[in-house]
Amino acid sequence: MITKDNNNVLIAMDMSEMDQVLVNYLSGLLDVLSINKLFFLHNIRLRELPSEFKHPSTLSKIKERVKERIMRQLKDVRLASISHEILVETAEFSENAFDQIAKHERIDLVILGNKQHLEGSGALSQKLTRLLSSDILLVPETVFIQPKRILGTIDFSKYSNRVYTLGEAFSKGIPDGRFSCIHVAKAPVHFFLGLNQSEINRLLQEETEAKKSKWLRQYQIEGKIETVRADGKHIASAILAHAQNYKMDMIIMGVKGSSSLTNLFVGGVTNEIFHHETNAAILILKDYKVEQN
Amino acid sequence: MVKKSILNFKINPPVFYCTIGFVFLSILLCLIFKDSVDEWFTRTQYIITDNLGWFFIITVNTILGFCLYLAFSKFGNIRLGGEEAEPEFSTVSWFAMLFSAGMGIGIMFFSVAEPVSHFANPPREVLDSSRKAIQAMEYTSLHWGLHAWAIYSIVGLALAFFSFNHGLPLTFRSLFYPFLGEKIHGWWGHAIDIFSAIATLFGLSTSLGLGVQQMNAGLHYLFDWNMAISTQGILIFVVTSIATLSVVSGLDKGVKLLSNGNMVLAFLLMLLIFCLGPTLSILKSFVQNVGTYLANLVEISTWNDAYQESGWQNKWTVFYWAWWIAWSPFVGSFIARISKGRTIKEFVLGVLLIPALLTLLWMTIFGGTALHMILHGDLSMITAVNDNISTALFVFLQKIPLTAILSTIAVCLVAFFFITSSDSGSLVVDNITSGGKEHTPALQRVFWAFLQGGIAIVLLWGGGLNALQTAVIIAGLPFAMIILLMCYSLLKGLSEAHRKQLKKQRLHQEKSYKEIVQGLLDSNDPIHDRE
Repeated sequence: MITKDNNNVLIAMDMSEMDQVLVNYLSGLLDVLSINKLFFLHNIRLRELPSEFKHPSTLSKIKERVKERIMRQLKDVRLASISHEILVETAEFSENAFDQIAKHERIDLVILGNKQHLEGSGALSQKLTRLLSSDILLVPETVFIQPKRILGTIDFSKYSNRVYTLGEAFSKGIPDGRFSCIHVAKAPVHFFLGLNQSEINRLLQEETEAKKSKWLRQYQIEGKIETVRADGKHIASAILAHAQNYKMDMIIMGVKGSSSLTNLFVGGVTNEIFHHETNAAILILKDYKVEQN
Repeated sequence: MVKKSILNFKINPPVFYCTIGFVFLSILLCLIFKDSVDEWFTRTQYIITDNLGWFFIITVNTILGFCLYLAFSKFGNIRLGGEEAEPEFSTVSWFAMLFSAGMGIGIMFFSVAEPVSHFANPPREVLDSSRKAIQAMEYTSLHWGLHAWAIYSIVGLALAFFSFNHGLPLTFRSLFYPFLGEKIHGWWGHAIDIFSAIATLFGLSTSLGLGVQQMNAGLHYLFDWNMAISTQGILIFVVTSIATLSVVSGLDKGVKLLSNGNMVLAFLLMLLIFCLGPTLSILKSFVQNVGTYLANLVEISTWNDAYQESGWQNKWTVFYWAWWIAWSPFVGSFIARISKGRTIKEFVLGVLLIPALLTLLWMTIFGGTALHMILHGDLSMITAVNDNISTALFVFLQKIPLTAILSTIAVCLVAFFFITSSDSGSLVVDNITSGGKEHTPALQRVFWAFLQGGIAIVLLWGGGLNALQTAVIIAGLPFAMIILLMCYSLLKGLSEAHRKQLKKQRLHQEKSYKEIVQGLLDSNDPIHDRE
């Protein structure tokens, strides 16, 4: 997980135009993110290549070319001055390669592409978000390279305190940085079969205000949290719509919600994020225990 | 079409008045011919089931087959609400809501009585006791398993598809749009809505009638109250009043509390019986029951008593099929409302499997425990069921430790199920008879709640369980035909949607990974970007 100092950062390179975006974006974050070592990883997807590419000599040539390409991409950016390593693997499943490196190198943050228009299914990013225990930063190719407006999503779960602390720290480290927080409220319609919409909204408002003041008291936070109603939308859509309306550059959220039942899985909101378009980078916080210590 | 009339009611006049007219006429005939009404119910039930039992059986089997076809066909990937729609509830919450839809008064009333009754009066003659018990659970599983949920699933699916994907109002006439076209706005549409409103009213009234009989039985066991129609009438009135109180006075938290309370109490009761009863035997029999049910599904679901003609099937299987069909507008509307954003495959498999498995678990825990007692020599359960089916649960609870606590939970649970069924049921009938208008006055829903209660009282008074069963079978018959037509209509609608989907699919030339790697190898300039 991201700490104040000396973070190990892993960047997923897929040899598409996205790679340069990730490199440039991370360079823009150097003011707020202290980096110990960078790892650039590309896994050669052998299963998608014909047999003539799998000959040892050709493979080693491919590896060499991949490394050269990444080095070129680093040439003119601030990242080049930081200690880094370029890794080219040939694991059968790319997620295994990432998992191994993340564990072995004690990676704090993994940076992944969140393709909006570029070709690619985005399936690997989704898998890695589920699998890895490091924090995840999803970067769309349409992102604003110098983030200024940061949005924290507070759901009063165990991640919320870290969302707040990190958001505030980031915004202070960026010139003209601004941090704001929202809580997305959604009514469980099945409980209110006999009620009209205004009654449901009133109940929801009361419940949200109670949770909000309890949470603010518990963590002694004096900030303001705006409540956004999801109405018929999925919570993920509501967050992204808010981010788009207010031109947010980065969204920070916990990987799971506050519902104890869904804690067994990756959160529904995180999962849903991948299916919607966004121009904001999304920072998904995963491990909370270390932070509490 | 929607007009305001007396008391500012927002109604669709032809549907509203015809439904009320039919209901009042039925009640009036019951009151006028009070002496002969019981006999009339028995005779009518006999005529319909004896002559048209095969039709109900073929209908439900067709529906189950159709559901499975849709799930695994080319339509399986069509998303309810369009390609961009997203599920409003997470899968876990959706499952929880489907569970709650599966819980109802029926599982309280029949879970002990039905397997015991099938054991005592087997549908098909078998000599061995253990074989009798297996058969009893097999038929109970048939009645409460996949077929019931297939009916709800197909009605819910059709409602969701035409409402979310075609933007039509969430009423039954919408389901016939591909079939009837603009005629759905005329008398054809009115007729369909009238049939669905009547089916819902009688289906609900039957459940309320069963529920109140059982509440009375519980209170008789707990506090020695009289078992009489008058007591049941008062109970219906009191519980309906409590149910409507929440809507009128805005005690909205009550509805939430009851919905949660229902689930918690039901699981608590099930867990207590599971722990206090023969736990190991329950676990073993659940596995076996599910297995034998699935293995013999085709045989038992098409068994038509053709060579024996014992009349058993009319009393049980045909009644259940008609009951589920009459309930389908109610449960279907609820399922449709919570399922936007699901694919057809997800929808059908979720609605078929999850609640069916839970209901079978419930039936095994209650019925299986009762059968376990009988097989170990305690035959008093058979006498209790033969004596009065509504008291069977409480006789059963007397044989389990913590009887007083369990009986109190059971009575509360029946009352809670009664209240939530009455509340949600009146909302569904109100929705149909108002032409899908959302913000109808609370008094309008109260009116339907009391009318349902009224029907239940009259039916109980007219002929008890027999009358309730006949009313459901009469109401279910026309609606069974409507559901079959609806399947055809749904198929037409889905084919159209599938064709549109294919047309919209863009020929997307993906740049393959192979091409990227080939580019790297070919180029001397590693930073070369390939378009």
